[in-house]
Amino acid sequence: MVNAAPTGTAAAARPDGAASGARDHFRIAIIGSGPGGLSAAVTAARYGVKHILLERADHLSDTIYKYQKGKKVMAHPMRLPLLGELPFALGRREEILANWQRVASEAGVNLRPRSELRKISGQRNGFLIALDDGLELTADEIVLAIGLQGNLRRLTVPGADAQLVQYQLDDPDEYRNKRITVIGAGDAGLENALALCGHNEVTIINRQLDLSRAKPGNISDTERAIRAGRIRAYHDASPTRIDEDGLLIDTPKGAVQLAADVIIARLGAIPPRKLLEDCGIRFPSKDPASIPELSDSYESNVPGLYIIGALAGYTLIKQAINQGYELIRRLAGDPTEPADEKLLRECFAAAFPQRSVAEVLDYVRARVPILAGLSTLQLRETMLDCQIRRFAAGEVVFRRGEYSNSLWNIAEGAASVELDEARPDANVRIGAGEFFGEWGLLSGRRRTATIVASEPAVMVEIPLRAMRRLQTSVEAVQRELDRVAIRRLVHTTLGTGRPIAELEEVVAGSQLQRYKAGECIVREGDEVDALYILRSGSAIVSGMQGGRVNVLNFVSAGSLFGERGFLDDEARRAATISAAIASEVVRIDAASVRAALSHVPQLRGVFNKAVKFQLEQTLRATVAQAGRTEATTRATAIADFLVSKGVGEATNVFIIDETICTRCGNCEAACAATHGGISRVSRELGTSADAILLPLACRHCETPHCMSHCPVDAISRAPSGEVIIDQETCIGCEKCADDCPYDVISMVSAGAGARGKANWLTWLLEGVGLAGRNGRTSDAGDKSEKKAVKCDLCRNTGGTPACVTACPTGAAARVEPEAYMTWLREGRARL
Amino acid sequence: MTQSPEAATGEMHTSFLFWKSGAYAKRALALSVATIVLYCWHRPAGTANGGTLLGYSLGVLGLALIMWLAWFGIRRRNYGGTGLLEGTFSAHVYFGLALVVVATLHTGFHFRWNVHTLAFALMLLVVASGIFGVYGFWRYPEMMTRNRAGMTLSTMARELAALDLTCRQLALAFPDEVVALVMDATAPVAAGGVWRAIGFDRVQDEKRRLNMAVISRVRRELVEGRGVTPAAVLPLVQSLTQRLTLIERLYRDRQLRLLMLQWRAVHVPLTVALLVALLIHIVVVFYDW
Repeated sequence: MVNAAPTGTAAAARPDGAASGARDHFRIAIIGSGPGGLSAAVTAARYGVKHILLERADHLSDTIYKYQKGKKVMAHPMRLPLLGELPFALGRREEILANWQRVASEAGVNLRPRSELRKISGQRNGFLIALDDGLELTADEIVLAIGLQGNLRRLTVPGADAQLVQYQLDDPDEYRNKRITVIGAGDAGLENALALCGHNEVTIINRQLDLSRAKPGNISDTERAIRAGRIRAYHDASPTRIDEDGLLIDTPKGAVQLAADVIIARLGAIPPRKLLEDCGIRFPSKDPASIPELSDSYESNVPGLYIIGALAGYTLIKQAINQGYELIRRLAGDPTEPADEKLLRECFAAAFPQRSVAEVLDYVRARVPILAGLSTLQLRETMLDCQIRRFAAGEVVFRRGEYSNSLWNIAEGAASVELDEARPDANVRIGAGEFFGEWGLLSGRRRTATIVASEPAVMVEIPLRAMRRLQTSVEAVQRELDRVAIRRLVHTTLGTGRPIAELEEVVAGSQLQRYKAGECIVREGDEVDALYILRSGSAIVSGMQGGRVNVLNFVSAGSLFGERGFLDDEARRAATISAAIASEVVRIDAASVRAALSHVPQLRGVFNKAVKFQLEQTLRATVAQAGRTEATTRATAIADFLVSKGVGEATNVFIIDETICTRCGNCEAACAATHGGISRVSRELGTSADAILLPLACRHCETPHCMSHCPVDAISRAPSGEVIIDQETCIGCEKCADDCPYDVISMVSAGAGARGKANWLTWLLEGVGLAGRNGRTSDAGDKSEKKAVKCDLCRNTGGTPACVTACPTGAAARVEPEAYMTWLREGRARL
Repeated sequence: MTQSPEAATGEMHTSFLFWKSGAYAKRALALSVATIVLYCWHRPAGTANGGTLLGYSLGVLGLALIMWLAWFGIRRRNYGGTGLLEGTFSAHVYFGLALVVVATLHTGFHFRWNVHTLAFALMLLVVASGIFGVYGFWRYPEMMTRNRAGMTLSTMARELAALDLTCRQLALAFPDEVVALVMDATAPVAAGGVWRAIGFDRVQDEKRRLNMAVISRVRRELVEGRGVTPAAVLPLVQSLTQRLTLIERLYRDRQLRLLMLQWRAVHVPLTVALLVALLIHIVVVFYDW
């Protein structure tokens, strides 16, 4: 075994130019010294396997080396244990690199830096590796762990090689008073722009129409910076030429010349396709972002050539480390079980105590069609988040009215969908191979039916997060989910009580459409060309009355609209309907609806009933508003204000009437007193209009943004609706706080909120010092360990939230938006 | 999630004065009427006083009411319960008013310079301060909201700082005398204590006068035509006027806030004094017995 101390730059395994003479032969050649490659090399060294670790840069782990200085590196997925000897835990970039350096040198890793790969040829037991500096060596097996960051996408426009163009940003503080253009509006681009905009003039060039490609937290921060004038953005734009003092861009309004001192292009990273194809590696598609096809043991189509890490589709550091370890042990003839094996075994133990993990995975693949198309690695990753549960006959899976957002798949047995307790004959049976719960998953609203296992059953529960991942990465999953969801939604919403088969043509005429906040779905006076069902989000129905726009109704997911036009063939749209927040709408083509009306007479009855209900509501509102023009105007203004602040996606919102609020602060004091001394409500940071204050407080969104990226899954939704952050699990990574568009999550140190000292007078007047009963806090506390906190609707007290019970004057309310809108529409807001 | 009862019935944003359609107002009124009727009906052996059977009963009732009313100070900070504070507060207000009737009848209209009358007087003062508070709670929130015109205190402060800067920059185009006046007018002023805020100190008038002085001085520059154009004068006058409006809003806000909340600094200590006087009153009465 060749040993060399890999102390960075000086750690060449052998002097350059050793190419002459006999080629060195290695049992395993590892290419790339990132987390995957380094873990593999450390393992190989420990097993005494003759190996070489080839690194292009003159130091280990170039991607992490190039992270911003002092960057905190996350060690998720937290649940996954770390295998092997390469240490890795949440920490700063510098600590991690230093630890790796130490371990690599202690283990005796044979590192050869400054070794750029030119070509690999041959296969198992006969690989020939050629490097850029002329060295050639041979190996039995190859581990390719080069990641993606070594191959950043570059600009191809004329002048792209100019001095002012760069592809990454090391230290944003190095730039002051510069004109900087950031090309690319992905997360990297937006993060760079945000880091720079404090001291520089920053412009973003975005190829898309909006910023939708990045994480919600980055989008909202950037949009705020754009509104505040700190960042300028060109959407739907692309650079056409770069010269010494700036660039020319093409925008929808024509060409624009921008002056720039620095151009930072963040165009993403892709596999080095040409190099890999030259080595004989096949790709599944022409898409430049696609990754090579691999077997379950990470082997590519070239026998003996293994690929791990980001190039294999695993972007997380911990996954790469584990893969490196696992792979080398297998190659060294001492196979170990994969890192997730134990977790999966535990996960399956309740339902299948006797079966092996592989058997259960086969079982799932055979019986859960939505997961059937997944690769073994994808399935393992998904199943880690899932639960397999057995139900006895008659056992309830979930109840109507509860909030829960997972998808349930029946692997064995059957379940009964109870839509209406009073009518057991209308229950629908769902059998093995089918799924249910898609409504709660897609709309984020209350369950519309109670599901009971009608015979002993085995079910696989896929939670929202895992579903989201699958929906984006596996197209077939999304398609199947949509197909079934639309079919069922049409059936339940049109609720004729007839079998679903009769509505087949309506289903056939349906398609899913997405609308952005504020976008118009139906315009008053337009011709009737479709019927609509709101699948997710919410919408505002408005109409012109006496020359003014009046909010007529606020509808949430599950609502039917546009049916009036089908009762009277001459009718035009009577109202305008626009999306209150980003919404999904099932649009049913008019011809299909008319055809269905002709042979399903019950449908007319359904439409009539819906129209009658709406008329009654409108009538009630009109009577309430009669002669109260000012009050009506105010109610409309309040509704508009609330919708503009995103209340449309809330399930429970805190609202204060400023004409009654005495600003006594008892709501905040009560919140603090019941939540460890720190209030989760802020009136001062809220926004108000027309004497209605929307304090900064959690709205318990239908589809909570905060849940999307929590690495430890600490955020959940209780069946009663409140979105809660588990303080035990939270690691304080701030991702949820970044993702929340309403800024309601704060990071609080453990121990902050300890009470200040009090004398008898302050006790008497303000209650300071009264044990357990005050909100005055001191800032003391352990600064290092912060946790995310936000409103939990006082779930532990089991009643009305403390902010509302503590309001002495009746100004505070915590309500469902629909109830509030009804209240407004009926003209009950004071003027 | 459990909805608050008012939300469920659509009774949200209803002032404590109209809690449950004035349920406690009606009860307190009934109590007052009942005691008055009893008082008129009662024919004691001597003159009506606290020592008769009715007088004694009214005394016990009054004491119970006072203790319960004073308990509100603790109840108010007793967070985490399930009952709404608003209901208790509504009752506190109306039964506080009823206390005046009960206590007055208890005295039998005998007033002397003694501790008994002191207790009665303190009770009246406590109720009077409470009435002031209720008036404030009823009227000021809306006045405050209108006064703030959709801004928060911090946005107002930011805007003021920005206007100060604009004024000073614009002033540079004028003679030194005007610059000095503008500097003076835009100099920061200490927020001041309670007295100043409530209006006993006329510092805002001083500021106002100073602002007006600048405005008239600038106008004079214009009239006397010393190289000053209307185009240069208008922005400065406009900014100064905006600034003045904003300052007045800020002072008004502070004044209302203090009036609305700080009456408790009178109400609470008076209550403590009342409790002490009441204790002495009771001890003395029993000692004399």
